[in-house]
Amino acid sequence: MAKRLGKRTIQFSQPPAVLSSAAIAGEKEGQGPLGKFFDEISQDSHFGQKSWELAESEMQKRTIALAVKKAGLRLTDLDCILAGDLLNQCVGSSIASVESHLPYLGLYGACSTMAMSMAVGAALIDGGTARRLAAAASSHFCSAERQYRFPLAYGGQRPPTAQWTATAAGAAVLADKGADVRVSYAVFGEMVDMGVKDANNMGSAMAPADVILNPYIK
Amino acid sequence: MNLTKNEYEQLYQKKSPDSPLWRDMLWAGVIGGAICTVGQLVSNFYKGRGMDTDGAAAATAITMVFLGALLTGLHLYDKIAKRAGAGTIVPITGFANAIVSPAMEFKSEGLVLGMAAKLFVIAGPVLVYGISASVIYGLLLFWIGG
Repeated sequence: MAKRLGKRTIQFSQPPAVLSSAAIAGEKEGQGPLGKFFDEISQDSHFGQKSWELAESEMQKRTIALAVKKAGLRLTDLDCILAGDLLNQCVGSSIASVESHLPYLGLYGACSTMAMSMAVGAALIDGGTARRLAAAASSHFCSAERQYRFPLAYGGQRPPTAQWTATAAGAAVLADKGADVRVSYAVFGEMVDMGVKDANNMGSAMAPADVILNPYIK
Repeated sequence: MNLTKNEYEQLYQKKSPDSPLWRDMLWAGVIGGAICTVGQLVSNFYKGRGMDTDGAAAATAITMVFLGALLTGLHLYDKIAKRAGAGTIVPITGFANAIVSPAMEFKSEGLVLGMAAKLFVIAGPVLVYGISASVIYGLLLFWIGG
């Protein structure tokens, strides 16, 4: 059974193993410094779908399938999928898992969703309620622009502090045993609101939460 | 975090890079000026074909709105606007862009509840306050007498 240390840290008694991981990204992300680490770089930002939301779902679905394949498993070997994204009702993730017929837990942590899904997944496994599961997260530039900002064809100008939402999905398969890479501890952050209202300066809005967690990450 | 919200605001505003104002203004002036030059050429063309001033002004507005919509549809207007900023927002072509871009974006949600319902999602505030202001102006003019 996992143990709680202090205010926000969980120590796992039998650290769950990370059997495999996979990442699929868009063309622009593929040209960036992380480009060579992606398993697949899609030249088609529609991923063969008719809407950006379905495109994001398809990307996440393919990423989970790839991670499961790299672990030498089949989708039906999993006990559940933990996933999240940036859209309303986490619709990208929920549609991505429809055809899997696996129990699905939708998570919303914005930028922290990937770490959150692995931490919650590790807690489920260490607690004995799951043996193998997939933890995943995704975002798509076009679906995020549409939900949070302006239509793609709108002629707006970005200030230098504006961010660019990545078109990318990541997935990891966690299990009770079977690999040397393990999740030993998890630290959960808290909501911090320092009153930043500028939607084009998300870095300033998020930085204070990081300052609180920083001593734990070092 | 031992900073107050005010102290934090001062900190991040000091650390955040400012927009390159001189460069932005230069681009806005050049591109906005170019759009206005095209408008003037179109206006001259209509006048040269025998239209009076009012007719030529209306025909020019229609032509410029069409060009703005066309460039938006070709995904060129947003590329120009990335540099031009106010230079592409202020002319009437910017209004066409503000109407056509949501139409393109929300078409995938259906023609009625998607495209038609969300057509004015950007231009809506301009219409609401523009029309309201014109009504107030009209009433004042009516009462005070012009």
